[in-house]
Amino acid sequence: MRSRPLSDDDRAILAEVPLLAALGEDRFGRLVRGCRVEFHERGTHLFRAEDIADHFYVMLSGQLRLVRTSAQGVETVMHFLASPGAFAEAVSLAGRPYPVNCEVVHDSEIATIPRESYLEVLRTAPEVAGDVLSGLLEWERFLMREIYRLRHANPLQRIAFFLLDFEDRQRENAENDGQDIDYPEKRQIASRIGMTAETFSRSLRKLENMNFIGKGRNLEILDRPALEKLARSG
Amino acid sequence: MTMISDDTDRICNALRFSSYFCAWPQEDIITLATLCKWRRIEADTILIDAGEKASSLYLIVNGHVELSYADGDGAGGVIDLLENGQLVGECALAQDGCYAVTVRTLERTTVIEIDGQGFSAFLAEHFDRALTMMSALTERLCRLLRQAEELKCLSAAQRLGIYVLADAVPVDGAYETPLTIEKGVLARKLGMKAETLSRALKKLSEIGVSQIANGRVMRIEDPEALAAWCGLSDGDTEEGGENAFKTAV
Repeated sequence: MRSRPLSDDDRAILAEVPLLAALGEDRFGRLVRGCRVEFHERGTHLFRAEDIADHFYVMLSGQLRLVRTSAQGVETVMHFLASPGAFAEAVSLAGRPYPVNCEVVHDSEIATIPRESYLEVLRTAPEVAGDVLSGLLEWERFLMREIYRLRHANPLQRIAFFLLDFEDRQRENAENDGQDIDYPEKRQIASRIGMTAETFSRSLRKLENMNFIGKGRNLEILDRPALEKLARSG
Repeated sequence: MTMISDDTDRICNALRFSSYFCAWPQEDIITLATLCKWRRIEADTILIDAGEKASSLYLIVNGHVELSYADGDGAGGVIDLLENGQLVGECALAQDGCYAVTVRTLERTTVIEIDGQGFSAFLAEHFDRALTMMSALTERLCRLLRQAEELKCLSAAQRLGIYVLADAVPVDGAYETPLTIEKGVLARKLGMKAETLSRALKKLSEIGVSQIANGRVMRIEDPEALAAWCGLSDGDTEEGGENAFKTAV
């Protein structure tokens, strides 16, 4: 696997990660000094469910998906990671197995933080444990929002929420500002928001006919305010 | 020797039996107990209000509470129901954290209120205890992840089947699960309407799950068959003895 040292831009992204920012500048510097950026090719796995989580990761560029596979082999997309940020930090700090497979959708650059190195640095600064916990609580909020939407939002709302959230996260990445949004494949989105392919296609057609999204192979938001209103009110 | 009051004594006992704190040494349990209050809350009372500054965590000692999440412009809905032994309000550990959910008691409920600031300071001085809290939080995240997966992939009847299996105990050659909450509340817990729950119960009756004792107990004739129908793997339920289904679920 190809790798390179961290650039200043990479360090700036890592410094924004709550778990790492909580350490303070000196400890952060000590932790990331030996870190390298690894290149992962499309179609490969970063980790598989049940592997012991001895690392957590910071995605710098690319696109990943987190997938659960049932006992019957049915795959469900749980999340797309499409903008820079940390992941797998909760399971890693707890020393538990990863609960999902992590697949590389587009070639990705990822910084890897070994669990033991992080804990060693954290032991020298136990006073930041509360900040570290609060970083993990962001994932709790994410999952609670997911469950709320799965329980209470209708199919059109779920699609609207997904498209808006995905666009927002891609736009946060300065490199994507003004460029087309690279949405995942439609069947992957259907899995991600808990819909059958048929319901997803029907709902997309409705949104196209309402002129909220563009027609055609590639997804495109045409009327963001209308889509936002739909997401909020149903 | 540290003298402790009756209230502190019963708080220590409740903490010791909670999965969050059961591995803690006795002296840490006693220190934590000094940050706690024993509280009885009437039914239908808001314990935590989403958006408010988070100042306390609550360990449920006895009773049920309902969690509601509000999205965007204030529209909200129930996302979970918690019972004895579960902890809510971890946001209180974060400096200037706000509660993410509203928590309402469904019945008269006993809780242990833990002072967030004091607990946070304690964890800052006890790194290993902080790690156990991270582990407990991760466990909660994994549970939420499974819940999201079930909502995406499983039918209402399968979700009900998994709920029934989780607390099943062997009785007279079959398994039984007492329903400790009303059916309307159960429907909300599982994310379905009351009429969907009725249809799910009917569906489960075709797989050997019957209601006895006026619907207060669910009897499962063949738990392995039910587990397979609900999508739980064989390996999950074959190991673990009496608690195999709970473990699998």
